[in-house]
Amino acid sequence: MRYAEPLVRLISELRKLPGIGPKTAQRLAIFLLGAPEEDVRSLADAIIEAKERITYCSICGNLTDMDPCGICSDPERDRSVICVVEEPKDVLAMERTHEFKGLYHVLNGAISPMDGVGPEDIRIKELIARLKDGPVREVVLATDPNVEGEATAMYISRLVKPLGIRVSRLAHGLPVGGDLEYADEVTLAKALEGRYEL
Amino acid sequence: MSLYRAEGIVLRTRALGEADRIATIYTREAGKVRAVARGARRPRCRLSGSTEPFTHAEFLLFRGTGLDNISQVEIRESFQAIRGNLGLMARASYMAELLDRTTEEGEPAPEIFQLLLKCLRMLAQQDGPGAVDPDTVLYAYEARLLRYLGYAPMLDRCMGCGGPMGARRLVFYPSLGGVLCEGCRGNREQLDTAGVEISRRSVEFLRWLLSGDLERLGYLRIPPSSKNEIREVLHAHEDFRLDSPLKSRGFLDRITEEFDGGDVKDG
Repeated sequence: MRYAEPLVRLISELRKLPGIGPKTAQRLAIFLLGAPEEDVRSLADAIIEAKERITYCSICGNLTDMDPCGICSDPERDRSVICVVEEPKDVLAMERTHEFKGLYHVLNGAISPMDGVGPEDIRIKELIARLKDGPVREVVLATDPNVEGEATAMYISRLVKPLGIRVSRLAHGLPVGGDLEYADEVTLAKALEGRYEL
Repeated sequence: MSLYRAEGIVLRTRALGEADRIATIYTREAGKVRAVARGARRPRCRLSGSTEPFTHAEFLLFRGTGLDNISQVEIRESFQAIRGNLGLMARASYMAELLDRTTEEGEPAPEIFQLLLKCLRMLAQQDGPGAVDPDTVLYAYEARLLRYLGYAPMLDRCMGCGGPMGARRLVFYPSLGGVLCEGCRGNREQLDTAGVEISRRSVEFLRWLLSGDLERLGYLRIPPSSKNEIREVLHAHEDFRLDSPLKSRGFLDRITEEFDGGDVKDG
């Protein structure tokens, strides 16, 4: 027996989502059918609204519903520091710390030679343009601590240093609350390298 | 379902699902292996640091029905010096991609593993009197890898008539995998691929890179003009064997151009 046509269509649409296989798609579809109509309508509306209203901020490249975004247009933020991150979700992660008061720059990717992603494929040009006509004194490189993130950070620092702007990199080290013996060798070596005086 | 040990070098990684990673590892015992590192994209996971590209380690792998799983890793050499330097990272990426693109899984070739390991060690060792020029390391690696794969460029004799090569300037034809003498070149106007010019001197350097003693590579001083010719010949040869050029070449060329020879002095 086959499902009715609208249900088949719903399942095949859900399957396009990342990490959703045929069985999960089927389960979600059946769940949606059993949910109250207003919930389903609200989900559908939310998808359409987000798709229609969310754009990239023309300054920092973050996802936003107004341009410039809330952070870029906030007069309270420190305009002399820019934190460079790979993805919009990294802005959220940094914001959760409540420690960083500067502005952001979202690259939308990282340099990955083996995947053919070069400096021209991410928003490095835009960053340099921002630095040239702004009051920026420091650039904090907060790209991921993996080989692509490191390469991106090194590349940017080579371009930014000649502009006379301070370039810093997020520290690598032990996770807070962790156990020393479970740290891998590379992380532990990095933590030793970045030790500080008490 | 079984556990096995393998000594290997991580060539590349790819994200899988929410927090996992697929690592392509070139092992001494089993050749190229693709294995899943569960949770490796979470900062607290022990596997995250040890499955970074170019890491040389002892892997404990778990053979499942699909891809193998990485159970434990003990790092031998992290090659942090390579990942911490743009010029070295670009060359190591090129080396890893070339190996990944030219080999199939499950075909053990200990000599290729050894070549990669030695070349990464030379790249990482850029201080002190024993330091070897990174380009020289890369070219020696490319030439030898092609030789192990059965694609050694023929440089001693003409590919057409088998005669000795006497001329000062030779032309290398990727479609033939070697050089042609002047006479044979005249007879083959309609060669399907363009040739790459190379001087007699550069050919001598290339022959050394192919079969000289790798331990003595540091003594080799290749002038820039010969480096360019050797690079062109190797690239043409690789491109003819691969269905598309290596992706890391663009980045290597770019940083070489932008940062004064892709200098490897500082990070």
